[in-house]
Amino acid sequence: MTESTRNASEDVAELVEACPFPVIQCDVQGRVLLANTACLSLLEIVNIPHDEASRILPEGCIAQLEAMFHGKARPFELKRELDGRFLEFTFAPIRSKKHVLVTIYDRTEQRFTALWMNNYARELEEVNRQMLQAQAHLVQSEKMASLGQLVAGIAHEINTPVGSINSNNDILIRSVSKMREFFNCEQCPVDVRENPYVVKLMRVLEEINHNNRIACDRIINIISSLRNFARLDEAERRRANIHEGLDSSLILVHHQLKNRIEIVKDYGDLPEIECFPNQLNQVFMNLLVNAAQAMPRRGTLTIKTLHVGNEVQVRISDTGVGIPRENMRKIFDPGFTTKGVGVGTGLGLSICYKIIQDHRGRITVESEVGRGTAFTITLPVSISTS
Amino acid sequence: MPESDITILLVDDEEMVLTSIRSFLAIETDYRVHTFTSPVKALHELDRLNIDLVISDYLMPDMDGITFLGKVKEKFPQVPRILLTGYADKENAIKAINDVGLYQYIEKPWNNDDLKLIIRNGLEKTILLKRLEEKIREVERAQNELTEVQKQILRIFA
Repeated sequence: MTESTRNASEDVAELVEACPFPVIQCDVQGRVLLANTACLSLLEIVNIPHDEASRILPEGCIAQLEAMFHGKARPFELKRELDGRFLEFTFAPIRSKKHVLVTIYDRTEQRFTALWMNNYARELEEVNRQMLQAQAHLVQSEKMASLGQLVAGIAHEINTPVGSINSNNDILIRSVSKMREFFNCEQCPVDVRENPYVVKLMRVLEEINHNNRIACDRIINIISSLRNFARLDEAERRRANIHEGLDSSLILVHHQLKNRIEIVKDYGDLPEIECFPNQLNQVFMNLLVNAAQAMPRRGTLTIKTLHVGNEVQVRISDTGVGIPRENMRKIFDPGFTTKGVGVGTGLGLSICYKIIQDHRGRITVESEVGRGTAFTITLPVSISTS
Repeated sequence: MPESDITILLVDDEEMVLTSIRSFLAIETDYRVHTFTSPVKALHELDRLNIDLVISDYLMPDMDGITFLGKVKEKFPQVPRILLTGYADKENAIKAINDVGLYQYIEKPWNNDDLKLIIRNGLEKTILLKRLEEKIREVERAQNELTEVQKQILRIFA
């Protein structure tokens, strides 16, 4: 070895030592011949003894090292995760000695920054989604609140004239019936009683009066539904037995069930729950009436109650016509009805939904066309602590 | 007491309500009915009318029904007071039953049969009260006479 070459190789060793990246010189079998200080400190980080420095090299690099010296091979790169560090290896051939210069870059920081950024972006997306949902919710409840005010206003304005019309209709019915009594009494001359014009007039009067009575009843019914819809905050909150509410609602809808529908009560052992009993009765009533109407002929109405943890569950199911899939999403929307004009106001289930929501509960529906429908109400035992 | 001797006062700012109730009472009863669209005007006429029962709406522009019935109570405490309310005033009406000593409240839209029954029962109470007062007066008179007789007897024997 001449002076100049020795100096050159010393220079190279010094150069390698000074390099801030971990640098390794190895043979094609991956045996480490030289490792600089930066490499040794990396080995400490990744917990590999210095004399086993070769273990730091990625598996499967040996085959590629050999191949690098055949033909016009180029330097190549490999990545490896070791002890939670992300390492990038560059392999470059030292042709004269058939050795390999390995440079190692620790990409852990960049990798973590990227991961963190990714997570952060995902979190932001999630927060954004939640905010959009909350906004939709808010818009919806705002809509419901103003709808409630509008409805209450309309109901109030219509109430007085309807009361008057209703009373007048009743007076007309009474007057016509008194006229009928007069025509039928002995003092009334037969030619008056049997005068075709009088007979016709009386028939028309009686018919339109009857018609008006039905119309009035319907309007009053609608006003009463609107009123219930708009004034949900009225009654006071107290502890109540759900079964009492269910039973009294059953009594009220009895005329719709009659002997037609079998009632199965499967009551669990329920604690009293904190609620607005009148409102819950309204929900039960609505669901029971709906169930009865879903079973135009015969059927079974099952009421099941359960106590699960801090919640009670009421499941009202029927064996009726079921709800078509396309209607399932809309059934809690105010104004949505399939019962036809004059039968349903389309407010029943939306009122139920709002009431259950006010109780911090949930109402869900399962249905199959031709098999039946089941509504499940889940209510917290205590509103305030949930 | 024949129905034609009984006077009912009816107050509602809506003329149509007055007409409806007046017409109903006209065909079903013989009560004399006075109607006012203003409770203030009704109060001016109150002394002159000699009423046996009063029915008032709640929400009216120049005075609310509860205030009005309160003033009627001050003058004629024995007259039954009935409040005719829209549903929105229900809670006020229930409070008023205690505050103003309402006899009854009727919700709009009202049922004519219920209205008739409530009026009849209310009047029965007044009529019973009137009779009771008469009886008390009779008893007092008798008592006074007895005391007088007793005095005379005592004088004779003295």
